[in-house]
Amino acid sequence: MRNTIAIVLTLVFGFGLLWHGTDGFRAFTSETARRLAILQEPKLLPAVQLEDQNGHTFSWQDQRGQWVLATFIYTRCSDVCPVVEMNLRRIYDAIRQSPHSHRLSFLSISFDSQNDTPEMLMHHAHHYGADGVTWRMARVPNERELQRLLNMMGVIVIPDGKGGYEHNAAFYLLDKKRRLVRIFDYNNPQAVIAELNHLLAKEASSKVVKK
Amino acid sequence: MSGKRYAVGGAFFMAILVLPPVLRWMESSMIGVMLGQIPVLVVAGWLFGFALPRRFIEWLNCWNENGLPGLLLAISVLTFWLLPRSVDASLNEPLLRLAKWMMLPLLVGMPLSLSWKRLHPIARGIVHTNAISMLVVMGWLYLSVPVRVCNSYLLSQQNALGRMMIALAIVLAAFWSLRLFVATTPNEPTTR
Amino acid sequence: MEANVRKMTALYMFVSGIAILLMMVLGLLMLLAQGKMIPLGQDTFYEMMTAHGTFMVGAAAFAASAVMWYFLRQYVRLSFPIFVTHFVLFLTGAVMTAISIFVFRFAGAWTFLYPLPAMSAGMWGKTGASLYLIGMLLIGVSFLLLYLDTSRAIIREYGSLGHGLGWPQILGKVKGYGPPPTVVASTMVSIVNLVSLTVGASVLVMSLINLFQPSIEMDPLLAKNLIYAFGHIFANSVIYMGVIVVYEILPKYTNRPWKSYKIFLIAWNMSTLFTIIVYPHHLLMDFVMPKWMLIIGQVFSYLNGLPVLVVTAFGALMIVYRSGIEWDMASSFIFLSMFGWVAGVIPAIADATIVINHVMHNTKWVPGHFHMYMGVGAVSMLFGFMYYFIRGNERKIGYADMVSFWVYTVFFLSLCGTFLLSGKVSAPRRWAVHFPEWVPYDRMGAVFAVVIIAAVTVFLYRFFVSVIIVQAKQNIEVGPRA
Repeated sequence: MRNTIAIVLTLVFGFGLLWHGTDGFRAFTSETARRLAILQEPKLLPAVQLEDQNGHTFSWQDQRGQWVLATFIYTRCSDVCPVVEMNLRRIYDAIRQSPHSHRLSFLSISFDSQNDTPEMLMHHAHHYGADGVTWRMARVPNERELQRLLNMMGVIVIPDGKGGYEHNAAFYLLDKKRRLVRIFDYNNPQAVIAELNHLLAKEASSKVVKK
Repeated sequence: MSGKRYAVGGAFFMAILVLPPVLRWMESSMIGVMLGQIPVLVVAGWLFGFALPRRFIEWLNCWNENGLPGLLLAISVLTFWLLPRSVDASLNEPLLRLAKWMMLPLLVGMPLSLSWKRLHPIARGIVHTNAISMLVVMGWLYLSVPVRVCNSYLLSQQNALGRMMIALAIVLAAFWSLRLFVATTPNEPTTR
Repeated sequence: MEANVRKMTALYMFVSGIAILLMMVLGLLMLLAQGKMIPLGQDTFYEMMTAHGTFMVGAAAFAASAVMWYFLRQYVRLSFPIFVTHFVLFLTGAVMTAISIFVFRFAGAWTFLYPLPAMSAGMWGKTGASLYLIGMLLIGVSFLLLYLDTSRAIIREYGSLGHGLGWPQILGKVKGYGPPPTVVASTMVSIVNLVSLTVGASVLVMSLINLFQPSIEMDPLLAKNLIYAFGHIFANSVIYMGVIVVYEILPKYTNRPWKSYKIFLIAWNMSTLFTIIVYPHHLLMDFVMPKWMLIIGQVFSYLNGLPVLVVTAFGALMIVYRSGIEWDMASSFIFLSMFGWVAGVIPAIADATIVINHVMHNTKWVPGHFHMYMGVGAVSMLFGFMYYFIRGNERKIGYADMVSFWVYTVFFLSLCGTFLLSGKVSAPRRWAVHFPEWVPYDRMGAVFAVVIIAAVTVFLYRFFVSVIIVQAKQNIEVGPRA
């Protein structure tokens, strides 16, 4: 009898522990946990100075009125970044066809400020067919600002010892109030397009109601 | 008398793990944490299990007659600490690190050592076979997940861990099945 | 206790008998559809095919495991609660599987080949696929429990699984005969199925994870290897469990003991090893497979069943020769099963030859082989056991049974013939719609199937009635609730 009670108690305890530890079986890695947290409570971005492929500096404030889909790369990267950029291009092409094209701009941010000079970024932009206006390539010249931004976004960059970096890749959606509102998988552009269309359409319609 | 010796043994294992160079070395790789640190913590708890006062064990046994409660407790707590999210958290948050170092010996190793002998042979067989197939599945997961599951470790380390786990599964399977074939003394002569 | 064991065993046989009968009906419907005699949607055809494959192997293995358990417990101490748990868990898994097929329309065939369950092109959803995979997992766990118990009991009694296979006798360390044939066979089956079920559990869990996390992929070739390693060993083990009926019943009928002499033991050891390593013969058409694996698949397929088959068939003939055996239903079925086993192996050997395999493997030639092997071989062993089980009331077993037996024999072999001939005219297997030139064989097959179903109904009716009567008689003798 007591044995049975003990079994039930341990099952309840174990289930509770795992439930709590995975936010209700939704987040098994710290990455998904963070995405979930952001979904529930968007996070404000730190102020940073960015420098684009033309050498112009700008900050989030200058993006006023538009949402931003950002990603983090470095131009010499030969494994995951090309896939990330090709998928970003797919989204870029799809959104340009949609009625919401003016509501969203794209940003590829390099975390390798040493090597990725504006010239390198310009070359990179040409390579992926970015127009340099709606889709810009940028770096964060100030090292401390870059670290703060990476920390906040949850991007972890580890030098791999061969001159490159190991880093986690994703797409980050920033809203007009410069808050991080969504993190998407980088390898499923179709889902990102669908979600973006949905979000942008919702925003457009809410604006109409306000008027 | 010998109970104390087991306790000292367990404490010794934990002390070695805490030594800064060992700690740094183990935590610098995913294999070190998953197949080094965690198992050793569990073994330390297993040894503590022998050092408990007899009275207390007898009281626990009332609640743990067939060993299943202890086994289930150990499995759920171990699963929790194997979650990639907990692995990350235990490296980055001191409070959770402390929790891991308490829970793995006390809530995994100790219940296992108190329950293992009480478990029905079939339950033990299920633990064995399940451990093999779950090690294979986990190894395969670490090899095939396209993203890093632990933000603290490189993808290459994750893959190395995956290969190591599959290798371990094969070794365990070979070892356990060999044991089934090696003779113990039968009840009676072979023909009857 | 003895009464409980009998009751439980009868329940096992009855449930699987009904399942086999129902699946025969599905088989008939599929033949009718291929023969263009009834309109059957293609989705429905593939659902039926999935059910037919899953439950025929499942029910046969389920019944065979009961046969093995029933006889093995004469020699070692087996746990009755595990026998009951196996029953309950298996049925739960089977019900889940059935729901996934007939309610959620899962039609990915019993092989659930990765990545098919996750990519149904809208035919079935995640629910159907996951229910099927979880159902299979439960069935796997139920068998795993049983084999863990048999291995444990054999080790306890004989010291190790090696002793269960008669190693001391083979190596000459111990003089005389090895453990009883039933123990040898049970040891072999426990070993190969512990392997197959561990492999199967891994690939099932992987498929489930892939279903819910499509970004986590596995190597499709690895998945196919794992699935066929699991499926081949498991389906093959049915005959090795069923053959225990032969070892147990023939000695009783002839009053001559069946001993585990050295050749017999060596044969079983060889088959243990071969059964585990021959599965690549299912992948002979996968040109990316390493060549050495395919060669193993071909060479050892020739040798796989043969050792046990030869010692058993030869042994059966020896034991019966001039023994004045009484030919009743049980002994007739046992002889039929030996014939079905021998005959069923021949098309398989042809198909295991790589050059022939490339032209034959995707035709109905292969179903021709496994219908003979399972239907005339393994299932006859089960029916034989059923008749042995109820032999207390011979006066009830009469003409109808003997006629049904011959009808079953003749028409089942003819059915297999139509499959083999369909293979000869290149009718592909697993196709819902057939070209006109294949249709005549389908129609013939359908007619034969109707007759077979009638015969099986007689067997099952006899079993059911006799078990009830025996039960009632016992209750009168002992008094209710005694």
